[in-house]
Amino acid sequence: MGWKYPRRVPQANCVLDFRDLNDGFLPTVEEDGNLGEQNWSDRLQTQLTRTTDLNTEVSMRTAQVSFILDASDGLDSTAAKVQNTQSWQTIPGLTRTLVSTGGTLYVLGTFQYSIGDSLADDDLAYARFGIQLDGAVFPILVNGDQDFYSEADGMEVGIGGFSQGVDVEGSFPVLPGEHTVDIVCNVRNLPGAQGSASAPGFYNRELIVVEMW
Amino acid sequence: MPTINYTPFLEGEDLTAAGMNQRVNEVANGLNALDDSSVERHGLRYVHMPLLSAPGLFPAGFSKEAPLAAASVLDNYDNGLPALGGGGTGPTDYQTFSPNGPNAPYGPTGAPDDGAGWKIPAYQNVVADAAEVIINGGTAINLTTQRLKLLVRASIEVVEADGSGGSVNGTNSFIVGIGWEDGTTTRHVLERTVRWCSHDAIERGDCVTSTLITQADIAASGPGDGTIASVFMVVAGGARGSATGALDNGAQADVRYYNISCLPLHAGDL
Repeated sequence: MGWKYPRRVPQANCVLDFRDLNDGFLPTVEEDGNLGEQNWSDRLQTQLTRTTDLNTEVSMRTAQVSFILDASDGLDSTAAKVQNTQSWQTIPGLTRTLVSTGGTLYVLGTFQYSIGDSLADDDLAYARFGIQLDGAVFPILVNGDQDFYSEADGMEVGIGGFSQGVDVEGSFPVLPGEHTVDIVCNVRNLPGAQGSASAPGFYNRELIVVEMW
Repeated sequence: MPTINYTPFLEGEDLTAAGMNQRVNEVANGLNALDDSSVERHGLRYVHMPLLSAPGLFPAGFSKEAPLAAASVLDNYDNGLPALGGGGTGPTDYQTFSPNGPNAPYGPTGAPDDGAGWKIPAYQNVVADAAEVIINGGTAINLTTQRLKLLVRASIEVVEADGSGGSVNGTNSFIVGIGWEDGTTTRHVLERTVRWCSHDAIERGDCVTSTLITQADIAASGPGDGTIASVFMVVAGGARGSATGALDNGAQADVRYYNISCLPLHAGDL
């Protein structure tokens, strides 16, 4: 609320004009909608009555899927799957389009990953995970070793093994407007190694997006 | 719409006590019922907001880590999860806690604990070092009343994971999750946080899981009472079985460092 100067100051023994009365009230009425930090004492005990806070908003998507095997391909047939490919793909359910007023988006993707395979450990395909914001994947946030030209054990690309819990997180300054956040996955097959016949599967998974100002 | 509804005086309108009182009351009533539309965006600064770290709400802080000193001694967790309805086949029971061990369900059992249920990591069975964040001194709160959501993150270092008797099998897994204790001191596990980490993925690695806890989570699960007094990490051994869901409870793991954090957020929905 800005500084307010009296629009009119009725004087004694002067004719009272209706505008004198309105101008006595209107400066207060017109500030309704513009109340700001100048209007509150720092001893104010805020009692928010709405569910949406004024400073922080959160988006969440969750899914619960039982982790039970299907003997046919080693994965539960109800698992959400992506293709066994080196292209980035959105993990089913872990996507959110939101309208931001501008500020910082904190993104946390957390999920159960599994890939069924009957081969020896070093023949497993490896998956990488990352965050995609408005179509762009951030390389620095990608889970998994980037040295995919190395064939030495321990230098494999990405995350291998039958199953693992994975967290991917990052913070991004964004402009006001619509933004789309995805948690993405691709599969790297090492030269000379046989990739898994199964597609990567995802079970329990959750995407948390916090808009912070 | 702004809250104050003022009726302007009109030219030629009779000035009466009733008219004056009406306008005064319109302004007064509006001021006594200000809502979101009355406040400009960013009109409240941090000094005006309820403290997230209000005295007493998180008396021991937002996180717990253990062991704090360099640890050469490992804890062995050899507890497995039962199947729903008991037995060794079928969907996993993610709500049972092991009653075995010195300070059950905290800390390792010290012996094979097949099919007994979850344990809460507590280094060398010291309950004070458990992977648990106490809320409000242990007096359960309602998250809606406090206008809070809780961002909980947990991880544990697995030094070695293998099957019963030390056998190594790619399907042997260490399982982690996040749970909470309600106002009736009953413990529950948020099943969406359960993560199976297979031996060949995490030996000499770590298992992680995270979630955002809302009032809907602690009210919907039941038979909880809709309040929360603490959050904690749960661990167990297991192995992926066949299509019948058979659980191999021989899996075990040697673990060391772990941490759990519980960050309160004042947040609505995007």
